[in-house]
Amino acid sequence: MRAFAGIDVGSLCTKVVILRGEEVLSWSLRRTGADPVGAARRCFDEALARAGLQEGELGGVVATGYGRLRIPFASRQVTEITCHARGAHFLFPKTRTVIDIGGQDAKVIALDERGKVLDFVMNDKCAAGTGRFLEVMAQALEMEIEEMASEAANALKAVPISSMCTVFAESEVISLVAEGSRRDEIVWGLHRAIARRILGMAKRLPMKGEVTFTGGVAKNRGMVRALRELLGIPLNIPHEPQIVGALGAALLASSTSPSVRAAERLKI
Amino acid sequence: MKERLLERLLEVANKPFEALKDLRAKKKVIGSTLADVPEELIHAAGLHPFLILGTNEPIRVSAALMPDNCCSLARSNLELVLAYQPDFFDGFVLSQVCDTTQHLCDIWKRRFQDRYFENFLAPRQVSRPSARQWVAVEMRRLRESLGRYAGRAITDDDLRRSIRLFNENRALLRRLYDVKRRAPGLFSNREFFDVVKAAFFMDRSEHTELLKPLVQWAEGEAEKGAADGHFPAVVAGIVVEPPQIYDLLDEVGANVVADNLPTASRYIYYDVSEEGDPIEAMAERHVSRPNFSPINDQVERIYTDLIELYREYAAQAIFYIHIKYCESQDYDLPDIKRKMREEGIPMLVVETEYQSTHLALMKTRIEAFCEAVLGRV
Repeated sequence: MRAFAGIDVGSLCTKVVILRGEEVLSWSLRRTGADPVGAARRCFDEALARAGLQEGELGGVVATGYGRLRIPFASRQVTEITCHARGAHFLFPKTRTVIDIGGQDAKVIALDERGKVLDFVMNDKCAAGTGRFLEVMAQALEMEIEEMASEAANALKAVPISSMCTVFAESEVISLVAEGSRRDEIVWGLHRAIARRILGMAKRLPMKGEVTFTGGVAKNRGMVRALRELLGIPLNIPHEPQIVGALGAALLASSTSPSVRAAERLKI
Repeated sequence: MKERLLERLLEVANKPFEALKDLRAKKKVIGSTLADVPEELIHAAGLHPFLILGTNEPIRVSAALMPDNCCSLARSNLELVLAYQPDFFDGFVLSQVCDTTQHLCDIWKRRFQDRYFENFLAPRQVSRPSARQWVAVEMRRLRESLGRYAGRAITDDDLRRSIRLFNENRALLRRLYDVKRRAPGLFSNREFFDVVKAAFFMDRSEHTELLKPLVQWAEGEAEKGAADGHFPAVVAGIVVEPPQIYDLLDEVGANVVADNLPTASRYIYYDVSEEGDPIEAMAERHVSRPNFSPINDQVERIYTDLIELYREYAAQAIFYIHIKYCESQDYDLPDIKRKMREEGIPMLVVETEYQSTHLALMKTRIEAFCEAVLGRV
């Protein structure tokens, strides 16, 4: 059986998954930086080496993400919306809604029982509600992202944050610090503000069945908590939420449509 | 052959101010804004009607005159004439079709006190019996005003000659649209709608003369252009700007077979009768055309007409082009979306804004829609 690859060239990170049947042979993740083609090449070579494969042995490569059109070694391009839906459905077959929060955009995708996209909404016009928003706030608070996520996950109270514009929210955070507000409460307020924005997007679609949270921001425990609380339902969180788009691309490359839940068998 | 026939038309559509820089040496140029300004009247006065369709160049001046959250078409129209083409126009006839255009007219008039300026007060409830009469009175007022500016009265014969020319032009565009529908391999969406757009800028006689051999060639080649891999689609809205949106539709294989745009079908599909009183005939045309967003009576027509188009042309999808902050479209859009959902009609809302449309993101949305809804993965 031949192996297939999916490459997700995101605004912040490039991810590659190599798949044979329903088994993930390897995956790789790198910062995209200013050279998306170079980053994709390096990431691809790394994943191939980990899988012990040569490029010529692959049955096909699908590229997705904002840099998908520039990948010379991809045989096909598919949008990240379709790929995230396919990847999330593969991992959690009862998924009917995908919330994907990446570095510079956020999307909510509604899918059917076969993983086919029914509708989607995207925030791709400003940093509000994206990973970048959290990065800027972490900078303003002189914290690491991981530290901020941890504080948000454990905070007892939230300071309301009214601005969602990244620039104005940063000023608001600085003012709150100057007023003596507790840092963990500010951080928790910020996470809840993003979650409210995502909720606003999600409400534009019919929210049914299970919800799977993907993208780099799904690694943030504070964000998971905020979304769970505001949505009032449990969320599926993949073990490696950042590579779900690449996984979907690899699945599309292999044109498989698995009908059984295979997440347990995935070494991801 | 096609390239040669299209060359001048595409040049005018894409770089009108460069391609028509000598225009003012021949005629006085009267700029108008969307929608429905009776160009035939301007033409009959011996003046050159030129539709102002905004600019994607950076905003330098109009931000001080109009807020950021007003229709970007209105704002960029003002920007175009204030900052980029201050000497291109001799005068203006601005249509008032919504609250924004109403206020735009006030600002415009104050800013251009040295130029000819008229409003065209288009009724927004065209199904009322008084609407037709209103339009006729308004057109007679405009006829008098333009005649005074041009230094000669516009006679019925002048007007009939212009009506004939504009009807002939529209008829040729309709024939070309018909070929494009049947033969998507012959013309891209961008090429066809650029040809229509050129009509709004250039001398209508020249446009007509350029169209004749193009239509003749297209009709002769139609059988060869029935390329596979296209799917029929409807485009809805007011303007499709930037025009690269058509390129994106071309890339996903959409063949626009119908539309309700004031800058396309709503313009080319309705002729002025060449019989009887020309003003009455123009008024009749005005009130008998289908609705578009700023016309707000019979509110259900904004989606029933669209559904009818979708079904009549056996389309597979609708692309609704939404100008951000267009209050008229904002008002209609929830109803349109709801109705399309109820009818199971796939529709993608493509939001655009002059100056800040991000084509790569738009491409992702359009491709994702085609993958998801139309199964074109």
